[in-house]
Formats: sequence, C-alpha cells, structure tokens
Amino acid sequence: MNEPDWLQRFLPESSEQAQEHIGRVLHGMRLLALSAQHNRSPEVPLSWNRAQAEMQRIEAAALEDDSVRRLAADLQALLPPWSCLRWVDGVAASGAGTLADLCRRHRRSLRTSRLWRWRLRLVHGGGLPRRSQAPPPWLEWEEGRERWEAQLDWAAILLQTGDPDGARQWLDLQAGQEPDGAACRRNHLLAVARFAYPFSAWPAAQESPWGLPELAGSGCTASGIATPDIGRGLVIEAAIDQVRPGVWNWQWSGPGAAHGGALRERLALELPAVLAAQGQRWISCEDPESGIALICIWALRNREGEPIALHLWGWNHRYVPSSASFEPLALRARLVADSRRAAVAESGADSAREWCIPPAGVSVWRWQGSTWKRVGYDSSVDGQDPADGFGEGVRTETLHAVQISGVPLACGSGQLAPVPWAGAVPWVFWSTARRARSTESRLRRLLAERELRQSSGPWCEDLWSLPLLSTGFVGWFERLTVMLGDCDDLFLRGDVGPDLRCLLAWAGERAAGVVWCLPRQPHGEEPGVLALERRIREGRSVRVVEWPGFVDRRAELAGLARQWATGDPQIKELVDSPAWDGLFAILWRQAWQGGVAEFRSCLRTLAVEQGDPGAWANVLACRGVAWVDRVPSRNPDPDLVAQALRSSRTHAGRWNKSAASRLLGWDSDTLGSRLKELAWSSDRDLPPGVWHPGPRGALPPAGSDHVTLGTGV
Amino acid sequence: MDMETKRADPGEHPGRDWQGRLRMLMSGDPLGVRALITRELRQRCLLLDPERLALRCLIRLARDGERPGELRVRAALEQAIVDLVDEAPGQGAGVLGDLAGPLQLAGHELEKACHAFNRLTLEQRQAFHGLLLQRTALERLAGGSLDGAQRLCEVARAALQRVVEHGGTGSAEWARSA
Repeated sequence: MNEPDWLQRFLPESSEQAQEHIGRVLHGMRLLALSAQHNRSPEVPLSWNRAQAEMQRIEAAALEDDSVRRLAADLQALLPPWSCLRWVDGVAASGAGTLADLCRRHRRSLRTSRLWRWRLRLVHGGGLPRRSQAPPPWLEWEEGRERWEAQLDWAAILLQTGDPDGARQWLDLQAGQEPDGAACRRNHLLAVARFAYPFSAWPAAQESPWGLPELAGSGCTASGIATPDIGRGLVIEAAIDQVRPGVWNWQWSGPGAAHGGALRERLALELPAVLAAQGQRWISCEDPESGIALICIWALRNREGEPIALHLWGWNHRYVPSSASFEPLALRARLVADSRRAAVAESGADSAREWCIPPAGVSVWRWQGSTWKRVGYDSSVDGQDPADGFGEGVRTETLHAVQISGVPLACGSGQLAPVPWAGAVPWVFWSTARRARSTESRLRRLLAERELRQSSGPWCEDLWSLPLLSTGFVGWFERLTVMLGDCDDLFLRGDVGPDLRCLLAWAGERAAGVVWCLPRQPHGEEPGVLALERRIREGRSVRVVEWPGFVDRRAELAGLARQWATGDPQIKELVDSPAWDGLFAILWRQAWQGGVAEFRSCLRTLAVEQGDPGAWANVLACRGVAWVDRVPSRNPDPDLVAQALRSSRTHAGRWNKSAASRLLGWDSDTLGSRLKELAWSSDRDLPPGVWHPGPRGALPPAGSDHVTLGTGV
Repeated sequence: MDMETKRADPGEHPGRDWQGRLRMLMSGDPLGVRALITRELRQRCLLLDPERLALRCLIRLARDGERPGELRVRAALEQAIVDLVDEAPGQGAGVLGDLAGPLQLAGHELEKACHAFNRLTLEQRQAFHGLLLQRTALERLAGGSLDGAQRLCEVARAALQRVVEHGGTGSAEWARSA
C-alpha cells in the first residue's frame, strides 16, 4: 500500500489537498530520516558557524532554565501552597499555552515540586480528562521516567478533575498490566489516590468527612504554617486498609530539591529498617499539594492484636530550605484523646477509621539520665488542644517516649538508647534534628574561625566535643564542597550511620548539591543506587566516593567515648578514672569490625565491670573482639602509625610521642625508629589520612582510602 | 603539535579552552559521535537534525573538559537528545530548512511535525516510521499476525493524527480544512 493509500485510510475525512500537504510533510520527514543515516561519514565537515549558533541556543536555554528555577523556588518559599496554586491557576488562565510550553521546556526544574508538575500538566492537558482517555503521551514519553510515575500522575489528574472512580479503575487496570510488584504499586497508588481525593475539598469543609471536625483546618501554629496536616493524616489513615500490611511503600517521585532529596533519602533508607525491626506496619505518603510528607505508623495494638492507635508524623520539607529542614516542623504525634473515641477503640472495633483513635490516658515519657519519667500531657486530665499535639515542650526534648494506656507507642532516641520496653519504635529524627542544628551552628563558627586559626595550628581538635563527629570532619566537609563544585551529586559509598547521613545531607545543602549514600554492598532498589543509575542515565556529573570504615577512623573513638560519657554515669566514671588512658590505648588498638555499636557495647560492659587491664582482655574476648595486645612493630602499617600520631595530637597541634606509642603498644624508641624508617620527622610529613586530605581542596591521592570510583559517567 | 596529531588522540587536551577542544572534536569524528548518533536515532526512531545533535553533543563534551571515554560520550549524547526533544521548535533552519524548501514547505512546518513526532511514544514512533516513512509492508511489520497488523494500524493512525494536529499551524489548518 503506498502513501496516499495510507493517508486516505488514516485520514479519510481530509481533503485531497490536505492529504497532499501532509504527504509533503511526510516526505520531508522521510528525507530527514535518510539524512541521519548518511550522517555517519566524518568526511562531511561540521560547520563552525552552526556550532556557534548552537552554543548561543544552549546559553539562552540555560538562562531561561535558571530563571524559571528561581521563580519556582521563590514562589514556593514565599507562598503557602494554596496561594501558589491560585497563582499558577491564574497564570494558566491568562496564558495557558505559554505556561504549558514553559512547563514542557523546563520539566526538569519544575519537577522539583509535585504541585507545579501536576498543576501545569493539568493546564497542559487542557479540559477535564476522563477515565476513558488514555494518559496523554507527555506523561510517558519522558526518557528515564518510570512508567508507574506516569500512572500516578494520571491518577492524580483524574482525581483533581473530579473523577476518583475513574482514577481507581484506571489504576486497577494498570496494576493488572504490571508484571512485577503489581500489588505493591497498586496498593500504593490506591493509597495515594484515596488520600488525595477527599483532601481536595478539605480546606473548604468545616467538618471532616471522617467525623473529626475539630481537626479540620487546624494549623501548626508552632511552625507558623497553617496546614491542616492532622486531617490529611486521618485521610491517609483511612486509606491504609487498602495497603498490604508490612509492605514498604515509599513514593518520592516528586520534588527534587537538594535538601528535600537528601531528607527523603534519609527517611527512605532508615524508616524501613527501623520499623521492620520492630515489626511495625506502616505506610508513608506525600501530600501532593503542600509537599508535606506524612508518615503513619501503627505502633499500638489492642489485646486482640489489632491496631487501635495511629502514630502520624508529618514532615514539611519545602518550607525549610536550609539545615532547618531537619527540624520536624509538623512532626508530632497526633493522638486525640477523647473518652468517646476511646470507648470505640477499646471496644475492639477494627475499621480503619477507628484505628486512629487512641484510648484515653495518653502520656509522654522522657528519657532522663538513665530512666524514663512520665512528664506530662495526659489527655484525660488536661485541657491541651489535641490539635497541638504534645506541644513545644516535648518536641524540644532530646529523648521522649509516648505511651498510651500503659502500652508503649513510640519513643525517640537520638543515641539509640536502650528501649525500655519491647515493641517501641526507636525514633531518631527529633533528636537528630536538634543535633544537626547544633552541629551546624558549631560548624559554622568553626568554619568562620578557620582562617584565623590556621596560622596557630590544627584546629580540628575543637570538634572532639561535637557529637557524632570525628575530629577531621570539617576538613572532610571542605573536600566535599570542592567535589560538589565539580558535580551535581556526590555519592558516598560505605557504612554511613544515620546521624552522619543527616549531617552529610546538611553539608550537601550548604554546597548546593546532593549527597547520596550508597551501601557498601548495594542490594535491592535502594534510593541511592537508583539515584546513581538515574543520574548516569541522565548524563549528569556524579562522583562516587568511598566512605572509610570505622576501623579506619580510630580518631573518632575518644570523641565518641566522651560523648557517651555525658549521658551515662558509669561510662563517665570510667573515662574520668586514672586507668582510662591505659584502657583507651587498648581499645584504640582493637579492630572494631562491628563499628560504633560494637565499640559502644564493649565500652559499656567495661564501665560496668570496672576491672584491671588483665580483666579487660577477658571482657573483650567474651564480647568477641579479637584481642590486639600491641600493633606489630615490624613493617607496621604506615596508616595505623599515622592515625596513632594524629590521635595523640594536643591542642597545640603537635603529636605526642609517648601517647602515640602507648596507643600502638610500643615503647617510644620503637616509635622513633619507625618514624625514621618512614622518614617522618614531623607531623607535617604525615601522609594524608582519611580525615586529613592534605592541601585544601586537593583531590584524594591515588591509593588512599578516598577512592574516586568514577566521575561524570 | 599539528591538528592531525591531536585528532589521533582526542583524550589529550593540550590545555586549551573548551572552544579549542570543540574545534578539535569537530575536526573529523575522532570520538565516533556521528556514527553513534546514526545508530541511536535509528534505534529510537527519532527525527532530529543529526548535525545539531552532533554539535550539541560535542559542545557538551568539550565543556566537560574531561577525557571523553565511551560512557561519557554516550551520556553526552543522551543529554543532547533529551535537550533537543525538549526544545521548542524554531524556524526550521539547517538541515530541516534545506529539506523543506524543495518540497514547498516552510522549514518551521517540517520542524514542528518532527517535534510532534519525537514526542510520541516509542511504539507510536516505530509504527509511524515503519509504515509511513519507511513504507515497509504491513504484513512484514506485523509478522503475519492479524491482531498485530490491526494494532499496528491503530497506533500508526493515532500517531499520524497527533503529528497532523500538533505538527504545526499549516498542518493543523489543513487538517481542519479537511
């Protein structure tokens, strides 16, 4: 069949003249396809003039892209979500075509906000889509985009245009076509869909459709943001019954802002592990309109094992563009104490709506020293506004716990302190947030003072007292900023703990980049791994850096011990004892393959045992630590010697030979001779270590522990 | 060092600015970019100006300033393709203008049609490309399957309609006048 036949068949109603025109266009397209086939010959020169024109186009696009990004950021920072919506809608009404083009051209920058993306796509799509319609191609054609992301977007559009049944049917249909993970994705999509729909009319409704009128429209006065997140949480909760218990559903396809990405990365990595360890069933969702992440956790069950209380956490990442993003603005347990609902809950009702209703007697416990103490907020007796959660007083505590009717609901723990009851969720975020904030201010000060102090010797020792940080972090942080200056994203591969990860996220923000964490042995669909793959696919510049293991970071031991001593009297007694120097030297020599946890566990045991050096060996042996009496002095590892020298540094910046030799288990003469063999006459000659990268901004030397695995692609 | 020597080793940048590197990369095809473009365009069924694509890719590589290994070249090309597909259609200069003239078409008309084509799904592009551009026999494309042939026709028709509707004012006017 020739071309006119095809045109006649495909466009039967078009005139002959129109078909001729279309035929010419098709012929032109055919010639273009052919010309591409003949493009491979290098003999045909490329025009320099055309290259210059192309350069100008690239420059113009970059400028425009930047301006749109700034505009979006400004809007999101300045306007509350609904104002932003109105603004977008207003612009759309005045010039939909322009806005749609803008959206299409700048989809990458606009993707930083689900709000923008969805709204603009609605505008772009035009009219009200219906279930009978297939998703428009612009939802799917984007390269590198997951298919289910497009499905979710389409479902959201159907929802927002008032067709929730269509959305659900469409999702069901799509889920049936998904070869893998269909049930999981379907459940998740359904949860999001069911969550999104009732809320679309929420601000106007004075009464919640779920029968909790006092929650509707309540604002987070503490954070200054009037978002009725409580109500949203309840709506989410109502959708939970559609989600398979225990399924890890995490959906963060939306905003890509640096801090948000890092934060989500953190959440996505840590929550599953923590909750899975506790056997919790839970779900997380993101509010598509406000950007508030909502995380719901079941932690309380009745005697029949049915959940009777819902722990809801909200997280607004868009309003906190700086390190304050770690401050959980809307993070609070929303437990409504009401005797009427308590009665419902106690009756063992199992509907989804009732699960969120806790019984009376909500109480808050705090970790004080070594014990848990009940400190207040008993909803059965006081008159606090339920909408205000537990109030600022509790939120600012480092450690807290929530208990309902004698059953633990959750506890927060910055240091992963022992949970005094089984079934509680060790929660790290609150205290970590505070810690990150205090760390930031401290780092700020130190960085500001750095120039002044450079001339007076090493200044890293000041960081000893920083929780979670080793002495050289600031130096490492500087390298991080240098690396981030060369690439969009930095991937750290290694066993990076949650607190350090939090701090790295902050460091990434400061450097206007994103720091992702990769496990040493990637498995499954981990966000960091997926992000790396996507970045490479997108051709973005990335850098993968090896994070040193704990065994190579002996410099942290002393700081960690001091940190723990502040919260544990027995450890404090041990650290303050005259025997501490000897004990620390022994501890320093061991290879802590188990990481910080192993070190801490051993330290606590030693603090309780309080024995002599001979007994310490037995204690460590019982704990499974391979005993290292002294570091072999023949052909010693230069890195280990260097670490000992650094660990012995004083505030004046000079290393102490006797202290260093004690750490190694040598005498001073042995150390002196080894230093001569290594031709190290002063501390300035020490090779760069994991925390001491050498000259400012220098890239890691070949063979060092900081191995740059790849740059660019 | 003469230009030929440099061409022999594109990874060695003699400390020039990026435009110097671009000139070097444009001289001949030391990185095999143009052959790669041909392959990619064919595999993805995309209608893009190959010269612009090559230039954009080379500019990206030259600006990176790093040794352009194979992966880097592929990544740069990938990004260049995304950029060009994203880019709003212009006035149809370059190859498109050259092709459109003899056909009594405006360059921008052809560019808009190609732009609309590139935004189709891969399945639509393949069907469109096979049936309407390459004029491959339907039976051959469908592999002898009746259902397949029917499906192919539906997809190609949808693609053609979209190209006609969104492929520029001229085409749309023709379609409306039909």
